[in-house]
Amino acid sequence: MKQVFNDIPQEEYMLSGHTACPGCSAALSIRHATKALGKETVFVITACCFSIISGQLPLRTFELNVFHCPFPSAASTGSGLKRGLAAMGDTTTQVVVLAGDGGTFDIGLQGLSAAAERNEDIIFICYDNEAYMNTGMQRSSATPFGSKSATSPAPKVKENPKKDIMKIIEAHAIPYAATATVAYPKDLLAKFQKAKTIKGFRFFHILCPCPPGWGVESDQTVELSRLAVETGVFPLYEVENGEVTLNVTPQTLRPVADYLGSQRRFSTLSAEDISKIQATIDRSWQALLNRSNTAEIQEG
Amino acid sequence: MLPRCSETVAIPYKIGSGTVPVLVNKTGDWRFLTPSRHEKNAPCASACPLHSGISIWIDRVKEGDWQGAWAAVSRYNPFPAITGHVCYHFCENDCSRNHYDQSIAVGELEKEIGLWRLRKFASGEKLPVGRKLPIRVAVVGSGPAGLACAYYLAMLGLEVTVLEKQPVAGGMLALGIPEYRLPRNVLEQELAVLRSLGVVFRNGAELGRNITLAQLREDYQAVFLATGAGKEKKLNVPGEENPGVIGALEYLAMVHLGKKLPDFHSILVVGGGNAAVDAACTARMNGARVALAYRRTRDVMPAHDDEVRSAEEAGVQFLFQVQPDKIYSKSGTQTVVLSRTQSSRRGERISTVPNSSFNLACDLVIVATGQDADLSIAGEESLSFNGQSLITNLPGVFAGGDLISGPATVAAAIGAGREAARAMAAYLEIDQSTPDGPIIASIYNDSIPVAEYETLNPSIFPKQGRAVSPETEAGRCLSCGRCNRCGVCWVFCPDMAVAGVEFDINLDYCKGCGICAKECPGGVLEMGVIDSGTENHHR
Amino acid sequence: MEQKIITGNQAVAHAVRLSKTQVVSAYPITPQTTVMETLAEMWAAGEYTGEYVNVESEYTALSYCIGAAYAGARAFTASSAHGLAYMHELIHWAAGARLPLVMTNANRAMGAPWCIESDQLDSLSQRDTGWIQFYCANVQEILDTVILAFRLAEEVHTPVMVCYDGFYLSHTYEAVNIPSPEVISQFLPNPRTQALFDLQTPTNHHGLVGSEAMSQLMQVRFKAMARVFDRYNLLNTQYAGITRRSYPAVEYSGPENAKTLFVTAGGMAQTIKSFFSSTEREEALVRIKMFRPFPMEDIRRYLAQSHVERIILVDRNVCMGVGGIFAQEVRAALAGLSGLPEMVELNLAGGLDLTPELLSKALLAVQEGEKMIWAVNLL
Repeated sequence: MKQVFNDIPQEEYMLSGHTACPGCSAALSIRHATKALGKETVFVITACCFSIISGQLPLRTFELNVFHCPFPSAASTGSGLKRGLAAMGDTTTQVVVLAGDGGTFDIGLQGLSAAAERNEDIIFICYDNEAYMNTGMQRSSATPFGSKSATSPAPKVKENPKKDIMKIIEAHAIPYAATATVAYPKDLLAKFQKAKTIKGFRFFHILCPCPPGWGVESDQTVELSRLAVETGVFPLYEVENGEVTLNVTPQTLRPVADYLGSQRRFSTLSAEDISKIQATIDRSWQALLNRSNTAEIQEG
Repeated sequence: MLPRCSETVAIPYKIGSGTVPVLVNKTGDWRFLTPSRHEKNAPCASACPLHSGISIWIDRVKEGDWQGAWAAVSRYNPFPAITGHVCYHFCENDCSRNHYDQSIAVGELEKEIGLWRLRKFASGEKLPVGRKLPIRVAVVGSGPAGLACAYYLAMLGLEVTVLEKQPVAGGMLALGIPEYRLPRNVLEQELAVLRSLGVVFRNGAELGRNITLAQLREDYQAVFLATGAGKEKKLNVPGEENPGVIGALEYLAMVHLGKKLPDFHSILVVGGGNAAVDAACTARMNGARVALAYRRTRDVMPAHDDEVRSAEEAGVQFLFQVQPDKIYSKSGTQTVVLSRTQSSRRGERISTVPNSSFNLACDLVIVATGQDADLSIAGEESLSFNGQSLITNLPGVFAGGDLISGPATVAAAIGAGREAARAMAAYLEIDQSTPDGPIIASIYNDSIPVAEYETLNPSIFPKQGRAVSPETEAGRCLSCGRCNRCGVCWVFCPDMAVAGVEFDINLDYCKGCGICAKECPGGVLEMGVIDSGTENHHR
Repeated sequence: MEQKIITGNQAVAHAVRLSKTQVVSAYPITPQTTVMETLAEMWAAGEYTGEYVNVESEYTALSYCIGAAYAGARAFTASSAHGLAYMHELIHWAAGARLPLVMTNANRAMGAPWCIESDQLDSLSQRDTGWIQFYCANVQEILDTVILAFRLAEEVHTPVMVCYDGFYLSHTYEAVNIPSPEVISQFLPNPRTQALFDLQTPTNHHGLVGSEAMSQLMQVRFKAMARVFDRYNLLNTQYAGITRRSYPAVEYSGPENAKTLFVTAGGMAQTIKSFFSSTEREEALVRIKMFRPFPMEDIRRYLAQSHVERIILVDRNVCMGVGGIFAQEVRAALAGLSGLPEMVELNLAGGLDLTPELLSKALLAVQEGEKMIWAVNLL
């Protein structure tokens, strides 16, 4: 391990025994995030799967202090906590807000936008499993076009595309925003390590495939995280003060069907739907390439 | 939060706060399938005529542990510097990384270890031999099979004598393989290593001529016959007996022994194997114009593709689908009558195209249409062997290498020598274990399945070509089928259920998600139903 | 100590400043806005030295304070009406998390339709959230109550909402004694300078619990709330020792053997008091300052007396289908007692101004036997 992974810290800040579903890529992503964030970190967790994963009292999953907060208040509670610490002279403890896509794209958007606008000195992590998974897979504005959900059952699958949260965040001109998936753990870690050194509002958008929600096997989550990147469904990039850097730039994108195919939530997609999705991805990928300062195209 | 003032209501935890580690939840109860390690044969080791434990010694190179790498590789192959130069590296053809980016440079790494060892030797470091046993053994033939066998027997502490009919030791390594493929100083250093181990070489001793098998059986407690396949096949065409027509091995031996040859301006080589190509290249390097005639097409040539390509680059002219019918010799010029053939596939009968014959004039015709073993070595003894094993009908007499298999590769010959040493040690009831591990690696088990290529994660294993630094290049090895503690399972466990330096799976917490098995680059981890006490959900 | 002519909202700002508050989250809403404007001016002038954060909603205003209180900081915000309603889930959360927050509320009517007048339904709707609630009667009391509230909140780990009438108090100038910081520091300890949590002691705060644990937590909170009366009386006495000003949870004024009692809360008490002094009347006044926890004992002591023949319950709010909310609470406090006096409600819902003239008319209506007198019908 020292050879392949000597850049991944050994320390664990999450404990075995937590109650995430088998194969949960959100638990895995946050595990790696905490490795980069380290001991001087306080989590603020809004209503989401981590309300469960972090442990039912008297238990705790994290080797860190965790504060829970009501659903829409993730960014504001986190900001308040950070500001409270600052008022007491503690300027080093990292306050990290953890929210799902519901708590970010939907109910938490107002507070998130405001905290970003105030450039609050916190890290906001959106782990995006593309629906309200903790309540049983209801559609959110992060649910992609054509996906089934408990509240968009076939044939009334979701008609609208997924909200582009990164563009919304970018519009706030914050110092740092990045996408990540746990299929690229070193990239994810490096981004958190970088974010730690930056003052101000830092935003992470982590795509987290969800076995029960997406209708995939529990061993597929890392593979799907990777496919999402390789197909251009979820490009890995950073935005630092407006400068876009693509972190993974495949020479050619894999066809999106490779990504959609194994997910039961997309089982009702027609060939026409898939080519529509492909066209959308091709467009947005090109747009991202055009505004990225990554000069050289590199392989994976 | 802190306890509230004077609130001492009997509840088992502080108000509104959880402080008990969640470790009390034994989530292993959730599991339906359990990951476990199933080691498999690596594709490289499977393809290797020596079945070298490539990933084992590559692991050592990765760590920069050259001593460890030498110790590991030498259990399979005592001459990595030689095979590093001459082996066609079938391992690289079957390397899983070919499915992804580029195979591991096994040959180069092997050569590096071998050269490291030779440098150490040159600086005075001898190989440790733990014991000396008063047991005399003979090895007949100093080709790669004989030398390998001699090495292992010497390491086992035996008194080894190698008998060689030629004035130089090395067999094909000395007389067959062109110098551009194997620098002779490498061979000389390897021979010096063997001499330092106490191996005695007796040149000019030819079995069946000036020594007999019966005598050897009397003088030595065990004998290994590795006389190779040096009897060249004939073309069976009129005019073949002319002095302007010689065998490829004969030609190569003359060149390598430094015999004075006439200046041949034009040479025709007949044949399509490695010997043909080696002879053609050697002739070309000696200044002749060289044509090579092969009766089938290029794609089915038995010679290794790399060799053919370098022959083409060297300017050897290839004539495909032709075969000689007759050879006329007149005042030093050979006129070969060739016909066009129709066959292209190997094994198919050759038929000539009617009225297609044409003449080709040259100074020398080199015939390289194959070799047979010379079985006259047994003399009075009735020697027989079955081609499958190394033992013969005569107790204490073993045989291997090209003698048994027919012309094969250097690696296969070394492998045969090693296995002969193993068999002889068993026959002589010599324990080959040492405190630092066995002298000879354990027997390759081909009943174990060969690991298949697993889709790789480019984040962990970036797509990249071969690296310049051996350590980095070794780091590209996926260790197919063998857990090399790479830690991918540790990285991708959402339940922190893989831990420790050995990456043991903690079944108290493993939920059986299967990510570790899916992501395992070596294909070692597999999911399955394991009947264990922790899997109580079936109750 | 200095005396200044200031409004109720400015009094709040002075109290927040004097309390060395560390985090203030600000969002405007009429009639609270000038609290935050005054604090902003103090902040700009360097008189208020804590964090001052302009947030985007009342929802964030309170969740920001919750975060700050998680850290252990002394935090404050203010609101009114719809702002308070928008915070509702957080009001519950702050109490459940036992955070010592102080929030002021300038009472204002709840729409629809839009109305900024001083109805109390906004804060009374937050009755069941678990906060301590005070209703102030004058500007001086607002200042003093905010300071008392910080100490009380931090001692009983329960947030305090200090309410006062929008415009009638929030925008009315009165002469107010502003204590010096030295005086306040004798009463209110300095805020924390270290986080409440410890990085070395990982803890999962306010996460998921089951029904049994929740019930136990509720019981703990219930018992903590019951101790608020004693604690408040003690603090009030202490504060009075320093400032010579005392604010009992329930205030009685007027002749001891009065046959008719007015019961009310907030600024209307001042009007009733001045009505008495100008007309030398026989009635007495019972003012409810502390609404949560509800001071049942005090209410019974003052109201369930044999010489009391009639109680006039004056509410500037109404619970549809029931009546005035203070009235309900008083009736509940007296429930089960025998020989209770006649109870009449005078209701000024919608934020009507209680004038001496209106009081006179109301008393006539009482004598005519009306039980539910809508003040609006007497205008």
